[in-house]
Amino acid sequence: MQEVVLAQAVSLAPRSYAPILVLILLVMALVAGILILTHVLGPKRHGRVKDDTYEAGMPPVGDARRRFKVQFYIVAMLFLLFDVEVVFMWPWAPLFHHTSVTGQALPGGFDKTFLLVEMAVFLAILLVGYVYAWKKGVFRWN
Amino acid sequence: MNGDLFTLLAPELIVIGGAVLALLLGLGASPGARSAPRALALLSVFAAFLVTWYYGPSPAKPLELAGMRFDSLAYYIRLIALSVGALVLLVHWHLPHPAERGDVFAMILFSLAGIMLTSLANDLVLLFLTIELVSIPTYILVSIGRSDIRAQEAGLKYFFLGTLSAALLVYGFSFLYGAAGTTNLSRMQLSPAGGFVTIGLLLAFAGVAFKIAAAPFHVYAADVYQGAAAPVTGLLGFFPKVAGFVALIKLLFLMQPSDLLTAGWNMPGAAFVFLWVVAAATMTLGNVLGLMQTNVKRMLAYSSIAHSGYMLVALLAGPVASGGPLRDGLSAMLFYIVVYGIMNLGAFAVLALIQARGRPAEELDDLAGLGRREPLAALALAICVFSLMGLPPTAGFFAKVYVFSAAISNGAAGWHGLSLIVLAVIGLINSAIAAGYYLRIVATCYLREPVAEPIAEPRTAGIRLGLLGCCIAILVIGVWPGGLLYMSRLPFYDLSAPPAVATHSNAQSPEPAETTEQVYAKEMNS
Amino acid sequence: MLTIGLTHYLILAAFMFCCGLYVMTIKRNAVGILIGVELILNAASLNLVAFSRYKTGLLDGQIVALFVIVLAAAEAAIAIAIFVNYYNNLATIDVDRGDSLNG
Repeated sequence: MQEVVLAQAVSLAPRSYAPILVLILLVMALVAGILILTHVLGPKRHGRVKDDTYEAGMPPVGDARRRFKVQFYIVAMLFLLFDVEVVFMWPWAPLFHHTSVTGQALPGGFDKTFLLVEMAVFLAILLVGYVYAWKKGVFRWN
Repeated sequence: MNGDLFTLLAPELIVIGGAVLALLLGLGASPGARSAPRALALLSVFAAFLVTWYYGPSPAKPLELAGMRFDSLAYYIRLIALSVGALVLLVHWHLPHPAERGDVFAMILFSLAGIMLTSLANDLVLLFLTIELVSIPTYILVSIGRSDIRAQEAGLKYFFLGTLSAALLVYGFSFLYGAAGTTNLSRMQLSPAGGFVTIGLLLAFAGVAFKIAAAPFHVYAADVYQGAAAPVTGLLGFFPKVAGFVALIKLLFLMQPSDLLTAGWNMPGAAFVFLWVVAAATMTLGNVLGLMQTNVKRMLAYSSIAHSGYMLVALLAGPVASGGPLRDGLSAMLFYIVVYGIMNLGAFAVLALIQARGRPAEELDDLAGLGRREPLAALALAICVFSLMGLPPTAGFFAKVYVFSAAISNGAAGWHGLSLIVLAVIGLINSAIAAGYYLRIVATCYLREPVAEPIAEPRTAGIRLGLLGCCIAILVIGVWPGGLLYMSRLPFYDLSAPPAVATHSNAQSPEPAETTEQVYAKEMNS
Repeated sequence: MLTIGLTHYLILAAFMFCCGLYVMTIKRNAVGILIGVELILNAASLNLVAFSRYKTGLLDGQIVALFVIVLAAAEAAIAIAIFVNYYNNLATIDVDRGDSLNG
């Protein structure tokens, strides 16, 4: 039993890195595309502040121990949360793939409709968090 | 489509749905929308209670589904969490600034849902996450309930010790997983002899000890109880403790052979010694330090520590097959925790209600002369404090009787049984020591001349109603403990008829159910 | 030849755990203490993944580690909120300066 399970686990190691290569290429293309698009489409205005390193108005040179606006912390906090929650989609995706391709339910009777509803509920809860942050004025920068 | 899970989890879904709606309604600008969260929170708690009650205790055999186990323990914990939760909501009724109402009531509901899910958890990861779901909202409640520097300081301290306990807990869980090779609690058959099991259990117990404020992990309690607003403190005495004790029960059950009811707990010697020392130290330190306080909130904080010690005594005695309820430590603990939750909440509700020197009462001097100025509030405080002390005819009396009789009559062979009797004697001595500071509170109310002119804050019908509920519950249970005792015995009856462990939907298939992971592994293989 | 096995991971995790505890006790800066907590949580994650790889051969331990990571993020978010509140009141995040509660 143990050996079988181990063999299954070992077989989980990717046999080919081709999909990862494709992903890397796609990401690079996306980055290049966005950069080119902003370059072509974006309006070009020049000025002392505009040409500075950070357009947001942060002086780029100064004491390293200066204080930051508290909003930076709050935005960082929100980023951290929404960024990390995405990790739950990773175990969900192969299971959903399994149920939708084979049509079999997972043990316990969880079929693809259940999994889909589950993910919708998960995203809805995240959305509530986003709406809450928005309404509390976290994104208002003054 | 599996509808079972939605129906089985209906109480939790109602509470969480109520919390999310309360959070969103609290954002509204109109005064109507802003006062809605309170009513909505209370309504969802009532609805969840009715649904739980309607379903009744578990079916013939406990149902295991999706990392959860629907058994009588879960039924009992859900019912007591929701009933005490309703009282907690009433006591918080007038606390928050209207702009924070949605946040406060949503956090209470999230924490409540956390307790209910803790009682259902049948998987290490779910147990860990649900304990954190109970704790994290309480960190927020301590910080936002009061716009006071001391509340911020209390919030920071509580947060750090809480996260440390979470980290210890999960580090311990990782060893339990390593020893058992599975995260499913019913499939974990741990042998108490293993090294990983001992390390894992000790770390996990240390993590839980923070949640229940047991020595030597109790140091934060007094500061946090003093710094937080009084209603929040009443909540802190119940929510994290229930979650902690439920987790403790679940961890102890991991090592139980089928003869648990005759042979008593089966656990590594080190774990038994650890729990014994923690129980003795918690009772003694709590009560001795309680004697030295002049601040009523700190006094009640040390009393809260001491009561955790009594509950640990009952838990160590464990379930015993013969001899009826007076010998069953498990149900004594389950009985004690709800009684403690109510009487502690009642005492803090009085502190929240009474104003002295223009701020909520806190020092012993603030309560002087309360018996003459506010006779009803003083009577309520006296009922709660006498119950904490364990005087008849209050609920606290029966709670203590059950705990100590379970420990004394345990009758386990050898040093195990003897050590329990010693523990019960330490507990009884401690109950006498505790009377010293409890009586001081009552004596101050009735015998001393007013120092600070305590008055009950006007227009606080919610707190008054919650306080009335606490007092009625204390007296009713004190006169007729049978009802609650019957309920707290339900998990014991589950044990007496050990159910076949079966996955609900695969019960009829001869093959053992495939785990999700195995399905996943196969899928990746193909 | 040395082969890396379960024991090595467990020892590394235990070392991280001790570092985390040490950092939590000596740091006075709130963010420093938070880093200590994160170290302990990561020690637990490492344990879980190592046990998952060497003992069960299944993915369950790795999934638990994911949950631990998410919980760590949630705690960091709460921490920042509490620090900002604390800072607004005391103008410092030095935890030794919060000493109004004792007795």
